[in-house]
Amino acid sequence: MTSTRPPITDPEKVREEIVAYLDGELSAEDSREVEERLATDPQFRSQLQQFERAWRLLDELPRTEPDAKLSATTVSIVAVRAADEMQRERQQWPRQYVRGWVLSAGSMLLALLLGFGMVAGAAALLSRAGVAPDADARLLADLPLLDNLDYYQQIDSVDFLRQLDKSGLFVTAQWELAGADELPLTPRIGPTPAERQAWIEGLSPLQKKQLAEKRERLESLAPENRKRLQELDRQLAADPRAEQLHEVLIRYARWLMTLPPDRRSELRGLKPDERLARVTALRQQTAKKLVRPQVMADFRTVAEWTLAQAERSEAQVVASLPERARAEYKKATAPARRRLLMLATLQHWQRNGFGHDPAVSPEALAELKQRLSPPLREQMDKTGKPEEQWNVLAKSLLSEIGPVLPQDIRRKIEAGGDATKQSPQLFPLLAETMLTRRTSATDDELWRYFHERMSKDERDNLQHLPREEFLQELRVRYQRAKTRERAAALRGAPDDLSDRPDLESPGFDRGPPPDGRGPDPHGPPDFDRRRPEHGPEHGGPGGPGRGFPRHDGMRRGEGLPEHGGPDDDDDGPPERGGPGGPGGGPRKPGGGPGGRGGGP
Amino acid sequence: MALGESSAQAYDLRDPDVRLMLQVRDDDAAAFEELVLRYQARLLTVLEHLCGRRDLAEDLAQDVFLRVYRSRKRYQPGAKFSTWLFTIANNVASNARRSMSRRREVNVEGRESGPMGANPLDQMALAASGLMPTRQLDKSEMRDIVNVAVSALSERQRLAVLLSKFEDMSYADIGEVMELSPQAVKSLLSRARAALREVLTPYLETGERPASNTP
Repeated sequence: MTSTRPPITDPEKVREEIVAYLDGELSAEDSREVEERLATDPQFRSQLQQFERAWRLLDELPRTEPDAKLSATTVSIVAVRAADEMQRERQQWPRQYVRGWVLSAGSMLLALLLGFGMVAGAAALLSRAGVAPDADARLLADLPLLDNLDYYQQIDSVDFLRQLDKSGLFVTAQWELAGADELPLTPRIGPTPAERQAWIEGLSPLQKKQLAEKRERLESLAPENRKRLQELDRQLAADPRAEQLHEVLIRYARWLMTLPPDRRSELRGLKPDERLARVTALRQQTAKKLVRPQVMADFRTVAEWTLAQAERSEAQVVASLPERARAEYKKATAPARRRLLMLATLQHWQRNGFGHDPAVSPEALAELKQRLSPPLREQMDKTGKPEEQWNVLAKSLLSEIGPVLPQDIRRKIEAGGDATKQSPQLFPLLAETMLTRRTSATDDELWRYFHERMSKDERDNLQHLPREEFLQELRVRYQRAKTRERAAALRGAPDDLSDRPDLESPGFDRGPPPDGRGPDPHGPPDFDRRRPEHGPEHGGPGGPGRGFPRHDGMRRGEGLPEHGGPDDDDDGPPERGGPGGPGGGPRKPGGGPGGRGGGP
Repeated sequence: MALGESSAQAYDLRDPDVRLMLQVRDDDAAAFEELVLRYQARLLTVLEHLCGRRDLAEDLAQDVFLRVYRSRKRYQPGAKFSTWLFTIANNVASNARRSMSRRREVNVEGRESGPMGANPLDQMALAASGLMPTRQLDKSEMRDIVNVAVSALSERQRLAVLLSKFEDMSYADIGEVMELSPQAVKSLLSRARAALREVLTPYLETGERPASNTP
């Protein structure tokens, strides 16, 4: 058992031998040598023991346990990314090489995807800042999430969505408009990379830009928030009822947009069960307000008729415009001109009644009535005066349509500005004009004002108020602030009004209102009551509150809301009141419950 | 497929994962799943200790699997599957480290501040000098110390240690993963373990740690 070699003395070599011995990496002969030395050299032995114990301590190191879903996600993500790379490689490869590879890889991917039934969750891992996976693959993986970003932000769990689904509350859209139908429920983007690629390629430049913006938004979210959304997307994708849930999600989110912000926030604050109960209650309230096809038909008739009247007296109406408004009118595009013309005409009637030029003849009104549905006609016939008949008409239509026209539908309608579709488009635009509430866009403005511009004290004070008062007061203060801003802007640059998006209609009427009444004639009744005390503050530089129609009867000094309609929103935030100033109706945010429905 | 089936079969017998990989090569999706399931935790463990971040480790692991998948058609069973996998992992981690250091992002070389505070190594050195008062260590503290000790190793030492400890790899396999000769691995590991011994022995002997080290 004795070694013929002299013992190793170089400390480093000794160390190597000890470690290799412990690792079982020494030859039999070298091992024997080490063992001999261990028996005779206490220092050597102690050294080895230290190595061994230190090494054993490493057993303390935590092992990473992937959560159960990570493997599935990994497979999915690999599938997405591999397919994406394949796509790019394919473009570079010689043709004959491509087929076999793509086919087999494709079938494998398909199997993978089917096996896990999900791909979207891949986004969760891909999107983390990490190994710089290529951006395209990431986009591909994130696609369903990006497409639904706005909707996902409205819910906190897929479970809640399942409950909604079960409740049947959102099986059909609330605002199914006869003829106009529900805004298409964009189907969930397919799981395969090829589908996604095709989907992206099918986007218009604008849609691509929007997608890019959403992507930026997603990236800029707090990591936990982003993760939450990605997890949501993953869960949704993995659900067997993914398609249905997706539809419910869209309908729910769109419905939420029709609610005032405080109500939305109230809903968000509730526990899922309570929230569902609340949503059910709200849905049942508004269910009565489903727009019936007949109502829609009537509304369309009115819009067309109004436009026809307006066009017939175009010269007169235009001549009555203030010079600046006239200039704007001449410059406007055809659709915008129609809208302006219609607005100016409505405003004119509003101000002057039907009797003044351009007058509405009894025959014209009779003709309109002929085209309307009998129930509406009967309602109108209960009063004698043309103006009152008109008023009944407007009131009736608004009460039906007002509550159910969500912002995103309006935007879509505006966006599809095809000349051949003018008439149907004008119709909702008219609805917009006539609506007594201005919903989400302004809600958001109002809320932003509340959170960003108000001091904490102000906020606290406001929040102590009962809900209705809170909303009113918030609107008042918001309007006040806008008034000051506008006044300052006008003083600073009296001639530069070019950035005002809404010259079109407020310019039509600049005179101060006879009664000095302020903004937002569309407000809820209780808001109206309070108005006089706020009047002066709202009666800013431009003047009168204009609203249309008054539900309690046509009154002078109250005309259309200043904004030409949804168009304004394209150019700037709706609250930029324009020259009509604060009197122009404060883009009434949310409208509150009183404002919703626009009438009894 | 270029490789003779006989040699592939030889590996089949020795390493079931090679068999799986051959199935992956033939576009068997279930086999790929199986591989992911089998190796994910192991890969994650090594990668997490290597880069010091769980999220990054997950990304890296996915990248590794992506490469496995991508190169499946070229796969030739010439070694144990795990060796091949960790060779890819080593490349992926090195690439990530390079690109991150270019971006001046995270120092993959080790955590800037571990559970022991800003300068764990200084404190450990102090502890080793026996100059600090001590108190009994609990298990999680011990784990922290080991963690810090490992993350204080150089990248290469750490990888060798991790492969040896967690994957029970031979010097030859480690050498294959790291493109080193077995002798170089021997020397690398011996230095790594000497460093570990140096840092950890004071704790081993007393089972205590400096009182002022309280995290």
